[in-house]
Amino acid sequence: MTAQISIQGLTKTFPGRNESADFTALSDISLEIPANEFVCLLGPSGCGKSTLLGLVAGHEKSSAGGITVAGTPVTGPAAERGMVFQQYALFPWYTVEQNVRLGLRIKRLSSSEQAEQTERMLRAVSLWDHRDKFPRELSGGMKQRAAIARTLAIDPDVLLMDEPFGALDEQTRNRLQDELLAIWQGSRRTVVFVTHSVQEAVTLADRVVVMGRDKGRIVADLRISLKRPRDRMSVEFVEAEREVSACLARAEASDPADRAA
Amino acid sequence: MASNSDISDIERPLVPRGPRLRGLRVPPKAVTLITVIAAWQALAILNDFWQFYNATLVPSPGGIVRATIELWREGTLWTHLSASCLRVLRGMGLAIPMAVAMAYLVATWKWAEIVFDPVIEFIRPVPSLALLPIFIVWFGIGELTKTIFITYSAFFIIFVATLEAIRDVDPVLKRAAGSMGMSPRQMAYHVTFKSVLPQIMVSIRLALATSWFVIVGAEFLAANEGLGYLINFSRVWFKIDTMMAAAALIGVLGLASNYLLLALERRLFAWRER
Ligand SMILES: Nc1ncnc2c1ncn2[C@@H]1O[C@H](COP(=O)(O)OP(=O)(O)O)[C@@H](O)[C@H]1O
Ligand SMILES: [Mg+2]
Repeated sequence: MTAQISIQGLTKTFPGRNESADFTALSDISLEIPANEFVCLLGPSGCGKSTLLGLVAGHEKSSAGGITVAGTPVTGPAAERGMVFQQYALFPWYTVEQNVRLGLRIKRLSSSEQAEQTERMLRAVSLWDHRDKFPRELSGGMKQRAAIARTLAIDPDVLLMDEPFGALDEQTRNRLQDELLAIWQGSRRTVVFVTHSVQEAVTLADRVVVMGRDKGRIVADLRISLKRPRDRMSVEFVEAEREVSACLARAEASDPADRAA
Repeated sequence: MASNSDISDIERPLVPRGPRLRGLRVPPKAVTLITVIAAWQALAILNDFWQFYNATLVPSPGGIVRATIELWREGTLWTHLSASCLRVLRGMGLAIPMAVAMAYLVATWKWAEIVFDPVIEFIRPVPSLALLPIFIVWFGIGELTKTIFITYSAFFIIFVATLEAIRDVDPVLKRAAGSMGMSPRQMAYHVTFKSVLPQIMVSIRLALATSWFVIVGAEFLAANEGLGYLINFSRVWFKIDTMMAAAALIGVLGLASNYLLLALERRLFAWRER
């Protein structure tokens, strides 16, 4: 059902435009993510989190090294690796319902299965009453719930999320975190969730992988074993936050790539 | 749908509504037009008494309407009107699919860009009317020349707008589509085509306006019927009212086709933020 992700010696170099030099965003990254694990990738802005996620999604080609998901090498994007973007990426010309249903059409489910699955997902994110609206008619939080519903409806083995709640206000963000966890606990799957918020990482993750500015080098790999639901105000929670913050501060500090660039 | 008008009323409270005539709402722009025509007519009536200009050279709105009715009585109105309309429709009907297909090819296939883009960019700035005499030499003075000429004139407008729009498609949407499992063909429809359709429609409207513009030129030179032919033919007989009637008809046709397309756009693109 759900899959293990294996990243081996991954390097990504972007060719420089015109005369400027090539830029290595990721250098020799290795990471094993077991099936069903909820992993948060945490790191300062520009450290290569999106690049790493894009490589796992298959949107970018690696310069060296490779990624396998459930033993199969990643060569391009696929429905088994669902993606949720910070910019929502809903199709503005389709209604909420059409957006969610589209992936099921692509998957060639029968019409009744499409309808049933679409309704189930839209009810799960409480957008059923807004199903006939176009994305522009929704608030940011509603857009992201629609985008999550669209991705989860396809039932991907792996869920990749790139700062999905980064553009939302705090209350909405907390609500959506809780909703996401509820859905995930209902049907577990491997999740790689990119964030630059320590609190978000500690709220969601089984495991927090902290990346540094130095070509995405992994500077810490922490297990969050607080049981769910997690109380963001509890002593244990704050303690975990402090520990993760300290790692992040180290990631910010050790920073030779910054000076090179 | 019923509440749509309420929403647009709230969004655009500053647009004047225009006076009401027996409960009928008249758009303010129509009032302007009617006022201008009425003033022109009034001037013509005054001129009938005091002769401060030559009424044969500058016919009144009434005179133009009379000339139109006269054409209709003779039975030539429909001949000229339909000839011009058909040419524009035929030319546009060819130009739209060709331009869209070519734009997609150039945008998605590197070799097509290398081969076609420079050629198209080279001939595009040449005003199509400059090529009309050459077209006549090549293709004769039959319908073929006029169709090719309209197609040629409309092609570049639609091609450039479509190509530009395809290159501007939000890459995040393409990534999302890929991660939903779409094939390139599905992506071409659900993302690229849906995304560029508004710009294609706008360019069709512009190309249509250009088509009305150039068909008249083509009919001056090479036609036995059509509104352009009518203008040129009436010039020989000094029938200025008929010339103006034909010109006004072209204006009305351009206006009507533009409004039709605008209405279609409003229906098709309800999803857009405006
Ligand atoms: N397409 C690209 N071309 C060149 N450089 C890029 C490209 N995408 C990202 N980068 C660079 O790679 C680095 C990592 O970017 P990104 O993965 O977006 O960081 P993050 O998501 O952690 O904020 C940045 O320095 C960015 O400028
Ligand atoms: Mg990013």
